[in-house]
Amino acid sequence: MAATVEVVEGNGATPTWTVITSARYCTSDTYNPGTNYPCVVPSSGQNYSYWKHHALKLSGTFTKITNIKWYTDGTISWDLGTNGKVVVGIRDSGDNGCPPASYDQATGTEGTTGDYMADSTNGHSYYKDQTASPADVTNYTSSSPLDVDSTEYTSATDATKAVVTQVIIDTDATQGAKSAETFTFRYDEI
Amino acid sequence: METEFIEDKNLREKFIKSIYYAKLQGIDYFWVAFLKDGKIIPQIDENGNENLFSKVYEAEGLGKLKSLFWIPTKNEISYGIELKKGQKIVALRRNYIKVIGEQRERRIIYILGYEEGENKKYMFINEKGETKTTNDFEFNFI
Repeated sequence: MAATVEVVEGNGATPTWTVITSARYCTSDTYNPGTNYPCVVPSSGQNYSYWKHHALKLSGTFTKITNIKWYTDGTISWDLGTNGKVVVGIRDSGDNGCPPASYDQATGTEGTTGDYMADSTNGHSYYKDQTASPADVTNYTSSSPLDVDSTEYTSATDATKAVVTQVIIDTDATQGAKSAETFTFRYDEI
Repeated sequence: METEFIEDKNLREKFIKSIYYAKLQGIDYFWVAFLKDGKIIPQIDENGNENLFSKVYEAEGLGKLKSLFWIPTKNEISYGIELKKGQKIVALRRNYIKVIGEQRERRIIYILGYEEGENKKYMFINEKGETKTTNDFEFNFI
């Protein structure tokens, strides 16, 4: 009778929150596209994946869920090129997670590149005007996790504040399917 | 005033039925609150019914909470704390969901402690019954 908590991905304009079985970066606002819409190594400049929103779906019975954090194992094994990396949207202060009401659908040129989340014109509306730039996800580990959501949830919700991430691909990246990487959500429940 | 954590090897024997139902849910530890008037609020009672922790907060707000324990379903030692005046109980499950491709790894660390202004102390307990006591609420025990 404890809480049931699942990791969800938001897609679409509204959005739709789907419990994930897999999270795959691609060049479309599509949950789990398989091998369709692969990220493309650019001939010049940088390409991007479409950004992804990942949050927690809370259901079941609980008194309180709070203190949601997120982290990686500190490494990304993918060869993304000289300045390639996976980044996460951060705020100048407070929680770094994007509230559901501030959700912004991923955009770009489908099949080629996403828009950079910090782009002043086409970027993510919750992050693009921040002084802080999107940060390398490998900065966030179990000993220094990302502060996602300090809200005290006392009832079910389809999505908490979301972690927004994106892949940056440089010209000297290696094209091809990549091995699975890990991320971890942490939360306190009673 | 510093409060010491309590280790009890015998307490779980009084909650055998609760342990039975907790095991059915795959729970490693469940909480039991003891009130000053002798009443007991278990997370899972002897009939398998579950209480919300809000009942403990309510009792604490009325000054009735005496102590709280995390009782193991598989391990031997129960860990508890007896609150002193002015101390606020901290008891929670710190949950981890690790996403590895299509796999999920879930872990829970059980936290017990008190806060009294700047005076804070927490015990972290993992599923094996290993513990760490610290004043760092964000301590990385994973």
